[in-house]
Amino acid sequence: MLALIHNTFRERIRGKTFYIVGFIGMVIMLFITTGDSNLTINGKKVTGFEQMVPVALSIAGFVSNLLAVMVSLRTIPDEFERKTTHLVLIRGIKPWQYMFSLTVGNILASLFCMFSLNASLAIFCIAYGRLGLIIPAFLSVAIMGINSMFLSAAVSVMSIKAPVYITGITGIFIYAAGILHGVLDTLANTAQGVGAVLARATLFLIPDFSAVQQQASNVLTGAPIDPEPILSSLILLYLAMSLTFVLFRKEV
Amino acid sequence: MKAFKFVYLLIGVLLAASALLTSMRGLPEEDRELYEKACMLENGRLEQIWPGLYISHYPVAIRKGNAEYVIFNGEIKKRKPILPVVACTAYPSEDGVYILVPAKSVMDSLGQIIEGFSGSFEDALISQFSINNKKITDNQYISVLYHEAMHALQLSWWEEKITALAEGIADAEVEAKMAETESDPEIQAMYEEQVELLYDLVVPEDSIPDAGAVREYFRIRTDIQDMLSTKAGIDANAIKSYIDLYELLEGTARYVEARTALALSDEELYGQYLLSLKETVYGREKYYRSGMGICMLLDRLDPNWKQYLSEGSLSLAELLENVVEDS
Repeated sequence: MLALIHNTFRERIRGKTFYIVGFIGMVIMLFITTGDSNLTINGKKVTGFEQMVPVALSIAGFVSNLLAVMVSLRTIPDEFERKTTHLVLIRGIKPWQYMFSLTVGNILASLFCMFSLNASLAIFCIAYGRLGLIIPAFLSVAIMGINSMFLSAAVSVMSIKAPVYITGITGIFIYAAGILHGVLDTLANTAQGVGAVLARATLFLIPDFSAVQQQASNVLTGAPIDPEPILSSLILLYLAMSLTFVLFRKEV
Repeated sequence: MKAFKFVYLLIGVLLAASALLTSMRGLPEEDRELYEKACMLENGRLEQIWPGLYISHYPVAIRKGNAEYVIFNGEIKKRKPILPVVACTAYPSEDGVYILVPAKSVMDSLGQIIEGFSGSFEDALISQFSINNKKITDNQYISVLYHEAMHALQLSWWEEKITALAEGIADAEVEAKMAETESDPEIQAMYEEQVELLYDLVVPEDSIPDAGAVREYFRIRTDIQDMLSTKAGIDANAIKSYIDLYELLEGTARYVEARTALALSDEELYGQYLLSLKETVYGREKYYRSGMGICMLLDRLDPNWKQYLSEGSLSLAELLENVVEDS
């Protein structure tokens, strides 16, 4: 299993898409942390390195989550298309071990991707002499990584059965719904009827990405952390990964 | 492989146990602290805002997810939500009037929804994708708590007054008919003039309002009501009762909200309430604002106006007219 995970991870980070998008993300990050900005948040002008760090992390988080979807989208369908599945299974590896390993490989590639995007931030922290920011920024990225991990796992699991384009669209939908979770949840709770029940059920299965991001922000600002959204996301991640034990394609 | 299965299962059990433990924590600390901060205003400052207004006199049900935490007499009890939907309101029950409010975290989302739909949608969306979301402030939340406390007081004290105004409306479709007529450019221009007049009367807070300007405000107010009546085909008395009802209910509650911000020494938030008087809005919201503006004027004209309002049968506007004529 470890060999399969390692192989999937290496293959993913070799992909051209990863480098292109990763490079774009890094360039955005460099512009934000070094350039003069006209950015205003909540009506206040955002200036100075410290204030720009959350902005840079927000953008890196956004790019990383999209990358997580892209990185995980084709791994499993490609294995079936290339008939690699057959070669793996005849070596005594069980289908669930195979699917689980591919999913974990995708998750690790997504995490690697996220930390690479934020690597330049550490360099700038050192360059500006803000060494105290490195550990909170690292922890903040690690918490935001939970969102990427879930997206990667969800997309991987869906790609076992669904066509690539449907998986991609659903992945983006999950991301948008996760980010707008609090707002959608409140809307669903202010409505009644079948639609509201359906919306609540859907939101129950999607983590509150925004709440997780808020905890990442709290780490950065030194505010208290609420473990509930983090734990809820981890449970949903666990459940998504557990689905790899039962899902497999008929054709090998 | 057995070791893998065991470790995987153990991780699942640990996650489930941790989630269960955190979900049993009850009312979030943040909400408890905000409630306590709101109660701290009861040290005399509230009497200046509205005599007899005490948040601790009513059970406050704070909704978080699928549970409601009722704070009353120093106890917090968990129960199933009394309403099927999230709402900020005062709710009469068999055992008294309840104040229902969502938890602060839910209000933050509600704030974003309001921003998204009535303000800049782009700002709200960007804020949502950012790691540090835009939230309502603690003082805003406490002010909203007092808005609902004022409704609880109204339900306890002003039952007859409210019933009389509600009966005066007679036509159940008054609101819808008025809303349709508000798109008329002539009426919109009159609304703008009315808003400007009220803002100019309210905002120089240190002077006694000019009686002539107040009369001019009432002239335009009556003209608007007459025009609404003609164009919408509704009885003028029904329109007057409708406006009086909402100014009484929501105007006084908005006034309490603004004064709470001042009692919390939040000049910036209070300034936002004053600024809202300058903006022409349509629908029911404009009576929240005009009612608040009238209360602010009454504050400067007669310090006993709240007592007269509570004891008498006059509406806010009628009370202001009387006070101006007597002064």
